[in-house]
Parts: sequence; structure tokens; C-alpha cells
Amino acid sequence: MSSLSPHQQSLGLTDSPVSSLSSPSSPSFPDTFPSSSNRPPQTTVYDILHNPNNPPEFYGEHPKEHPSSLVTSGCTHLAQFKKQRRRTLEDEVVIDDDDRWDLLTSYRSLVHYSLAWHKSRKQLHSNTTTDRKRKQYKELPLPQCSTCLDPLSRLHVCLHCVYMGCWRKGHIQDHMREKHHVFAMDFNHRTLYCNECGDYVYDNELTDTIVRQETIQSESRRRKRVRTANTSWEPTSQDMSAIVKNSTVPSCRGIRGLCNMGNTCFMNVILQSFIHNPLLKAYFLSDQHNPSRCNNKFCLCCEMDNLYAQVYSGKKEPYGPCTFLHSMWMSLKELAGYAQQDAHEFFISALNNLHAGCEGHSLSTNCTCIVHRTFAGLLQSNVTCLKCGNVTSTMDPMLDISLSLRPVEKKKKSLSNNKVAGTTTATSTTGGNIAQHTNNSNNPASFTRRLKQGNSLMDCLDRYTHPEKLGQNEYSCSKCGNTFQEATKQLSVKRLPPVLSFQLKRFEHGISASKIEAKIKFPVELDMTPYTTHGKQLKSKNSSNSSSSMNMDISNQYTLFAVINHHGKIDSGHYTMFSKHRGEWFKFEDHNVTTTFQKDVLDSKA
Amino acid sequence: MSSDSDKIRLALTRHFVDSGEKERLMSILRNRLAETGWNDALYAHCRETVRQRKLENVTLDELVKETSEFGRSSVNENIKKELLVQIKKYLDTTFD
Repeated sequence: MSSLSPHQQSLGLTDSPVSSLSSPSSPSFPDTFPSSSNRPPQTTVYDILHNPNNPPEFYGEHPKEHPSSLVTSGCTHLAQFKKQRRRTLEDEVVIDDDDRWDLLTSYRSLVHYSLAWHKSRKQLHSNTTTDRKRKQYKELPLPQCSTCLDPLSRLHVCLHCVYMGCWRKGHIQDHMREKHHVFAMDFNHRTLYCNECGDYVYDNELTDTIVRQETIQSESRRRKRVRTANTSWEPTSQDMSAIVKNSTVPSCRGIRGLCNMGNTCFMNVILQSFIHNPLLKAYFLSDQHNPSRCNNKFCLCCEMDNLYAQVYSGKKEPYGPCTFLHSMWMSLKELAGYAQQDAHEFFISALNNLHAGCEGHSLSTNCTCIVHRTFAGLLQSNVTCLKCGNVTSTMDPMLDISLSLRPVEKKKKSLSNNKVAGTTTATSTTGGNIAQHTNNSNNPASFTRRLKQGNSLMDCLDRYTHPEKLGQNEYSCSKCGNTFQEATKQLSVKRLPPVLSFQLKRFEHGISASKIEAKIKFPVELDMTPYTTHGKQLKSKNSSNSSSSMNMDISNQYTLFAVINHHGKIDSGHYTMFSKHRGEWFKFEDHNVTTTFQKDVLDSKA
Repeated sequence: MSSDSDKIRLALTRHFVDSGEKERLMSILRNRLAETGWNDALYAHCRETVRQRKLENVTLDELVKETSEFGRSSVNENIKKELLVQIKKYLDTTFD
């Protein structure tokens, strides 16, 4: 441990696995892999929430339910342990070295180790690390069962001592039974197993304070100065009593239907998609737009703040967003009135209006308002002269991507319709390499066939980003003496937003206004790398590698969280939407909210 | 008594995990299964099973026992073939 500075040791965090650390199954593990055992445990919001001295009024009005119905622990055994631990800390009982082994610090160290080990293995085999870094990462030893040395059979690490055991052969269970040790951690999933319950237990407090915190720390790049001004907040006892006396714990139900107030379903579906948008939710629920400080008239941000308050009020009956509608009419006059409107138009207008209502918004491309931080991306348009090869690039900011459904033979601009929104997940949902799909082969014949007729979201994106030949007199090349030349134009996404919205252009306004009802298949997980500018450049370099696996950039992975559907004809129809709330899918049809399955969502015609 | 084949198997397993090959294959497998919607089908099947059999407070092991038949049989043949090819390739290169 000579490489750790005293400062690092007191912090108890080892960021770089450079030193020769021992595996969790060796006896010297606790010494060589320090945890925060030297630091007094931090007071967190959970200490406020779970304090047994809180008055029952703190937990809100639950006339029918038992007042102390707040779940404080994953299982009764954990609860017992936590109570004991709190008591020893409060009383500052002198404990000798044997008892100093704290289960929670043990858990934290093990989570930290598991993350570091998995990261080291991934880095070892990625193509982008240098040899020097590879040597560093190779140091972490292989975790294996203390009894049979098998590394593969669902390893669990005992939290009470330095034992690692495999599951399938029963070694960890034997150990726990013999030594009366209760808790263990699954090494690969970092979940907590309670031997008394015989099952995995999920404790919100531990998952949040230990697992989530360590995961975030392990994923943030080293030596990158934290740009935000956030500091950690540790409540003093005065803070805690002020909070407990003056506030209550609200319900986190977060689902309410919205009443249709006269053809307002177009607004309702967009509002629901905003409500379930995690970034907008975090922004408005953390009071970042405070109506009492806002001076704008008919401010849609204030209305959004009010809307969130209503949705999270714990009431079950549907809410009629009258004030929102009124403010919307006053600020977006084109959409006023009770006629049927287009949801996408409302979406874009609302976003623009929200952007204008945010303090500190700017008109440049680097606006930092919540709308742009959430939805804004950058589209790059490359026009290549076919004669001299000169490429001119222009950048266009965008808030969403509008995809046409028919191959572009007609140049008519169709009016918009339905929207599919996706969001990146900060944790790696599907880490690792992506290999080309076996049926979407790289051979050109099948590719062009899919290009013309393919009916999946990826096919639409392929068409969108495919080079398009410009007409005869559309492009004059400056390098060829400003003469008209043949040229191709290609779109790609230069910068991806955290939340990506797609609009499928189903309405055609031409000689005959019509709606395209074709079903477009969309996935739950979408990798946008092949449609990014960077991805296109990589592809043109690796054109010969048919089985190469592009190292997957986690930040280009999107997970679906909302789908809006339109039923009916172009001039009279009805909007409904699906959204994911806390891991479950719900169908929102104005005031009706029902549970649904992911299969139904994927089957729907967005 | 560990026979020679046991020793070889153990050494092979250790190399398999240590070299990161296991992680690599697992992530390929995860991607393929997610693509074919296997995850969702299994999730739905688990929910149905719990609901139908009224299994209150079911543990992970019990749930796995009930649903593993369905899970194993519903994996696409292509995925199995692809993984087998990869494993064979790994074994060939390792034993060189």
C-alpha cells in the first residue's frame, strides 16, 4: 500500500487499482483494500427518514394505514442490524478490534472491489487502452471460491468475514450456516443476500448510499474536475429537527390521469411524456423553477412546476390541467381553441416556450436551460461534391428527429405526427461489445433492399442518414469555380441529446391528405452509434470488417421510456400514450391510466 | 480426489474468467437475448407464474426453478449456435 498517500488513505478510497491488492478471499483483504472505516459514518437523508423518534405526523396522513408503514429495511434481519449499529454509534460504545468489523463498510469495500474488478477486465480487452494502462489493470486478482477455487459458479462474498464461496456447489451456504453469518453479496450483481430469509433483499438505503454511490464514483473519469458547483450536504441536528417539524413525507405515486377538456388529448399525451421524463422530473421536483420568484406572465415553467406538484400530491383522481391550458393558449396562440391539434406541433412549441421561461436561457447553440440540456442535439449535414470531393459541413441544432416513412421519391414535406422518445441510461444496461446483427449482414444487396422497404426504426434512421443525391441545379461547388455540380448530401447526428425524440411523419399533406398507417417496429434498446457523425466515420474506415465488433460507447445507448400513439384519421382522431414508471409500463388515455405489458407497447403503432 | 480432468477443467475455467472471455461472451449473449425480446417474454412469464400459482414471497431460487424450463426452451437456436462457435474458437486458441 505504499502508493497510497496518507490523504488517500484517510479518504478511504482507492481510485486506481495500481497496487497489488489481494483478493477478497485472502485474509489480508481488509487491510489492503481500505474502506471508510476510519471516517465517522455520514448522516444522510435516510437517517432523517428512518429515525424512530420522528412524530407520526411526519409521515403524512394515512388514516387507514398503520402510521409506521414506511419500509425502512430490506428485511427484518437488516432492520435489526441497523438498529443495533445505530445504537452502538450513538452510545459511542468502546468496541475492541474484533467487533470493529462493520458490515456496511465491508459491503461498501466489496461493492467497490467488484466494480473495480469488472472494470479492469473490460479495460483489459478493449481496443482503446494503451499498454501502460493495461499493465495497471491486470493487477487485480481473480476472485475465486475459498473452498474449491472455482471462479465461475455464482460467487458470493461473505460480509462478516473474508470468505468467498460459490453458490451452485453450496459452499457459501455451508459457510454461512456453520459460522452463523447472515449476509453475503453476489459478486457479479452486487446484491445483498440474507441467509435467514433465504433470499436476496433489496434495501433502498443501502442500494442508494452504497451501491449507487460507488457505481457513480467508479464510472466518473479520473482526474476530471467536477464541473458542477454541487457540494455534499450533511444535515446538522438543527436541520434535521427543522425538517421533521415542518414537513411531511409525500407519496411517490407519481401517476395521475389528465382530463380531456375538449380535444386536449394532444396536449395530455405530451404532458404525460414530460411528467415521466426523468430529467424534467428531477429539475421541476427539485424546485429549480420557483413560481414565487418568476415574473413571467403565463409562464409555462410555472405551470409545469404546478403540474408536477399536482401529480405528486398523492391524489388518485385525474387532474384537469386548466391553468396550463389557459397559459398555453395565451402564449401559443396558434394552438388556442378547441379544435384538434397536432401533438408534435404542441411538443415543439411547448419546448420553445419552456426554454424562453427559464432563467438564464440564451439564444446561442449552447443554451443551458433544462429544455436544451435534455432534448437538444446537433445535426451535421455534409454536402460532398462528386467532382472534386470537397465536403461542406453545416450544423443544425435540433430538438428531435423527424423521420419520413416512405423512401424519399416525393419531395413533399409531410406534416408531423407521432413521437417515440428514448433516454440514455447512465448505468451500462448492456455493456460490452456490439457485433453486427447476423441477419442484417453487411452485404450490400440486402442493405439496399432494407433501405427501400424496411419498416423498423433503424431502417428509418438508415434512410435518414443515407447519402442523398441532390438535384441538377441545387449545388454549386466553390472549389469547382462555382459551377453547378452533382453532389450528395448526408445527414448524421453530431451531438446526441440525453433524451432523444423521434417523430414518425405519418400525415401527408399533398393533393390528398392521408395518414400512413404502416407499423414501424422499434426496439426497447437503441444504439445510435451508427447514425452519429463519428460512427459514420468509423464505418467507412472498417468497411471490410464484416465481423468486427465496434466497441460500444455506452453514451450512445438509449432506452425507450415513452411512446405516443394516434388512432383515427388525419382530421379526426385520438391520442394515447404509453410510459414507463418505476420499471412498469402504463397506458395513459386521458383520465384512464392502466397497467400494460412491454409487449403491447412494442406492438403499438407509434 | 481431483482427477486430471478436474484439474484441467479448473485451470480452464480460471483462464476463461481471468482473460475476460467470459464477460465478453456474456455481453454478446445479453445483447442477443435482448434483441429477440427474450427478456421481456421471460419477465412476463415470471409475472404470470407468480400470479397463477399465488406464490407469495417467492425467493429467487424458487422462481428460477419454476421458470427455468420456459427460459431455456425459448432461447433462439441462432443464438445458441453463435455462442457455441465463439466458445469453440476460444477453446481452440487457448489450447494452442
